[in-house]
Amino acid sequence: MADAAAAGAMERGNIIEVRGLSKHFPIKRGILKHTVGWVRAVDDVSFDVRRGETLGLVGESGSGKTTVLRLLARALEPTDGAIRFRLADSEVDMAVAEKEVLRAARRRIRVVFQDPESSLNPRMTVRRIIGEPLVVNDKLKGEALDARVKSLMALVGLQPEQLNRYPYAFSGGQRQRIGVARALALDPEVLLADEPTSALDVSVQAQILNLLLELQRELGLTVIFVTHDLSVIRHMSDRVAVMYLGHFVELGDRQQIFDKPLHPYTEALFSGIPQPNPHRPLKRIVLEGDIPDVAQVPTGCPFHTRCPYKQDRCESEPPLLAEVGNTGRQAACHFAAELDLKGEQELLS
Amino acid sequence: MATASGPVLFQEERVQSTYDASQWRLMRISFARHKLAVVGAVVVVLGYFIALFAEFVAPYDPGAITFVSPARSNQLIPPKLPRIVHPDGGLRWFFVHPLVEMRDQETLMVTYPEDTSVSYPIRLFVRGAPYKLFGFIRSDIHLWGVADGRAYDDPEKVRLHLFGTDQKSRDVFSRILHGTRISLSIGLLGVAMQFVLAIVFGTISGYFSGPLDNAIQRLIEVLTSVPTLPLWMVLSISIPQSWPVIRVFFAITIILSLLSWPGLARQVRGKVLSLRETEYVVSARLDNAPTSRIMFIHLIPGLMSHLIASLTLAIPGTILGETSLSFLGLGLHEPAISWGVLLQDAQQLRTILFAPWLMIPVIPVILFILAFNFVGDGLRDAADPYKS
Repeated sequence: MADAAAAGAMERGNIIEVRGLSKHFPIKRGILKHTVGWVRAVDDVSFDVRRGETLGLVGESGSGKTTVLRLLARALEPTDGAIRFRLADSEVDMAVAEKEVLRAARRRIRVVFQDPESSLNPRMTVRRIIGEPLVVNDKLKGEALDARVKSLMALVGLQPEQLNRYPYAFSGGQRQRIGVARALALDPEVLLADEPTSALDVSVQAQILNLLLELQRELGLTVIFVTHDLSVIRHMSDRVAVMYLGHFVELGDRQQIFDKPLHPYTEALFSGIPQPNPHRPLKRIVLEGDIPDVAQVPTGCPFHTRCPYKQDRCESEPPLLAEVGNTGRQAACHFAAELDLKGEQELLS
Repeated sequence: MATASGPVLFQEERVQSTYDASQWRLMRISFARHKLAVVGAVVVVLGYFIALFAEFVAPYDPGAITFVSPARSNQLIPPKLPRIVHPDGGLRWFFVHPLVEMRDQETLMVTYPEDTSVSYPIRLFVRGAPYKLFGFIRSDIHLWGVADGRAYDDPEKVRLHLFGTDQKSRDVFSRILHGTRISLSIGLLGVAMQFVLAIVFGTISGYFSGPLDNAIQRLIEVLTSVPTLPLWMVLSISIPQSWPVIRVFFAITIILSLLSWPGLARQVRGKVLSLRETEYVVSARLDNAPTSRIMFIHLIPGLMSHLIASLTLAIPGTILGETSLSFLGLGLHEPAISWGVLLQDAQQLRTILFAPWLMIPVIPVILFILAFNFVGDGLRDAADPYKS
């Protein structure tokens, strides 16, 4: 199913084209708050997202995946780069869009937040929370508003008659459904989901993921999905992008990446996936050291300090994200074509 | 479509009602659990009731001088409680004996022994000095008084001075009740002004960081670093002595609140700073909500409960401020009646020695400050019902 969807997506072209996107945060010290350095949270990232696909963005905490998502929504101002959205009725560069253009684009590009605990105003009823984008953008009122809110609640599997309740009266999973309903309120084309299940119980996670999959299929959404959980990625995405220290290190079809990663970091990530069968644990590839300080990204390949396949060249020459052979897959490793890395199944002992 | 995994099991009436409960209802419920706060609230409400109906609740006109002649001065009469045990041994309804003024020939001290041959009962709703309630309801009915059949301005009128009289022969009890009016309302009015100033400056400072925030923060630092007492003195001296009581009252209120808003504004700023980064505010911003909507719908309601609690805790400060200013002679003067003005009489060592009852106005000051603190404590605990 996912393969067919991906193939379909390819025909329909790109909906997002990101070029040279960077976000650098200044580090300020002292009484005068002068800048002593920069955190390169996202550094010169380029990628495309195909219409109708689900792109999974995966990486350790601090890898910049959430920053990328926030830049796409322009919740943060990018330092540099272009973020072109080819929406149904317009083309927008979110990196530089001015007020009115941004307003229009934000109706089409919506965010589902990580923690429904903090993304829903505790002082508002569900009616007002889901209704807020409708009130602000469409000036909906009274019965029209109620009807729309109720249909949205039904769409995400909530009981419409509970619209006068406050968020605290809902379980975590239900609260995230409220967050999804709110994101869907303006009929978006793109849904940006920032670890939408990481704050939830494992038992509820699957429900929310399935809800997102169903909605994507029903409404023809393009979904960009940030997570650190590879099993979620495997379940959700058509394509996967792996991030490390603000860089994309690998990007490609989900099944191919899981079968045979092209970047040593991806392989190391796979070896950490928990397996349901305790008698067949994965062969662990234990990386040396910690993830480097993002304020002092290593020269050359950012991964060379921990890479088991490191060679001299890696220390000085930064690899670029480029297509490997004719696979249609991209990796940022000098030796991507030569290394024979193991996929998830091969790592099983 | 997946069905809601809600707590369908618990949908009985009572639980349903807490699910729909608004923040204010949850606050009320949790406030009621704080017993001391409830007692404080009762005292506070009672205090404002007295302030509203002071003319009716007080038995005598607070400004009435009962001095008749040097031999019947009525000055510095000590406090006296009504009696229930009659000289003939029986128990009676509350009554009083008239007082006789005597001067000790050796020490020249004036004493007020009782004339136990006569007694007059205390009655509720008696006629006394006429007054105009709220400035337009004419009446002469007082909550209680001594029923001796004489008119209120008869020199022979028998009076009961619960808290004694002052050097000008006025009833201290009635004066304290009337003092409630200024002393408690200066707290409310001053705090209301602080509230507005704190919200305006705090929200602006917290939401629009940058040079504006910097300017406001430096202003606050300057204001808080000036020692209060000298500043009070300077500002008070600039109030002309010839101003009427009402105008002086407002001027003092403004002075007090101009000096005390910075603390609150800082709290508001801190709260706004943290609220601004919450995901629900970010999400409202991404919903295209205009800045005004974010401020009035998301930020200010979010800090309102905390602000109300802090303000309740700030009222005692204003009450104390007025009391100390007036005590030092920098605030209100006679004929205004406030607890601070009343305490001016207790400044001399001589009065404390011979007429300690002139210090009684300290008691309501302490009582109300404690009451406000308890209420504020309870409100603060109740302020965020979602935190528990």
